[in-house]
Amino acid sequence: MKKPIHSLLDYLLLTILVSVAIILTLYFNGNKLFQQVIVIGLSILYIVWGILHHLKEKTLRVQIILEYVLFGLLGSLVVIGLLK
Amino acid sequence: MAHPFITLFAPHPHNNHKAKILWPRSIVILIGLFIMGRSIVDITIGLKPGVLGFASQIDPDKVIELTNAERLSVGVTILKENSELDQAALAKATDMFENNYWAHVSPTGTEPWYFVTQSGYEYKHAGENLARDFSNPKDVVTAWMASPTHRQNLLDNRYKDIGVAVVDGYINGVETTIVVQLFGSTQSTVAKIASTTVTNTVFAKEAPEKLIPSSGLSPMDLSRAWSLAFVVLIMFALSLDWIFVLRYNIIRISGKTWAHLTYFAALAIIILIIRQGIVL
Repeated sequence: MKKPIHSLLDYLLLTILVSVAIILTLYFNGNKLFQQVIVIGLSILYIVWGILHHLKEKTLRVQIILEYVLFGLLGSLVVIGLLK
Repeated sequence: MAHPFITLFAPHPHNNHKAKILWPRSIVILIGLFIMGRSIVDITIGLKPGVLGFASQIDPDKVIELTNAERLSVGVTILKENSELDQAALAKATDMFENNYWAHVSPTGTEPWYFVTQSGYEYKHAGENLARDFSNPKDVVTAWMASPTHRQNLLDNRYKDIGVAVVDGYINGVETTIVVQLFGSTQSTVAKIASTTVTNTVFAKEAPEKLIPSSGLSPMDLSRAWSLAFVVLIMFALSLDWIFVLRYNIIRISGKTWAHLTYFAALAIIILIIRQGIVL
């Protein structure tokens, strides 16, 4: 089954988001406060992306929101633990 | 009955077509495990100072050379090494280790300018950049240049003199290498530089001998391995999930595996590129 074009655009947006986060982390290497802000920002945007994507696909459920929030929380923690 | 490993890591009718490790309750457990592991490292550092540490061999002359190279590249005059500022930087680094702090101002309120004045350097303008846990001088200067405030200090045209100290010691039980970079200018900078050129050379040779290379396990390396282990574990389960869902055309209520994979792959890259050092 082919993915609809808006779905592909969503994934393109997510790829751009993570790429920008990686570039910013590299640029601010040595500045842990900025890097923490970047990782928290990326995680929040990832959760928002997930909610909006499923909302558009009309598949949004509480358990899906919980999944994105928990993944975002775990992801933030493992990187921020490194930046302490 | 499916093998527990399969139900833990791959979609299967026995786990409702979703790897158990990706279930919300498993993620909560993973979050708890991660925090617990980090706490064990922190407690170990507190109970057994020196078990973990990081020390490097950074040549203060190289820090000055790279600083001047950055200044030259933007057309700012280069700085002359000043023995009084070298001594002030050394005194500041020693004070941080003795009083167990990592800041521009000590817990008792001593400002960097106190050490500058104590060294006999009568400053008109002065500035301080700090760095710790870097393995080489190039990374230190690059990190300062990447930070707007440190960059401003480093390229400030008002400064004419520089002093650098690199000292190894323990802060909060962790072995670390601190780099203190002091900038300054006096009312009569030109005359002062001329009178201190000879003693500068002597000090610059003495400073590196204070460095004790250490092969201790860095807390950063341990934390990086711990963080990566969690990311790799999740990525492994997500990859299997993605393959199984595609292969068997499984339809279920779930988040997008490819999106999760993209996010965790980015985190894995970020964990790998984060550099050890900190600037202040």
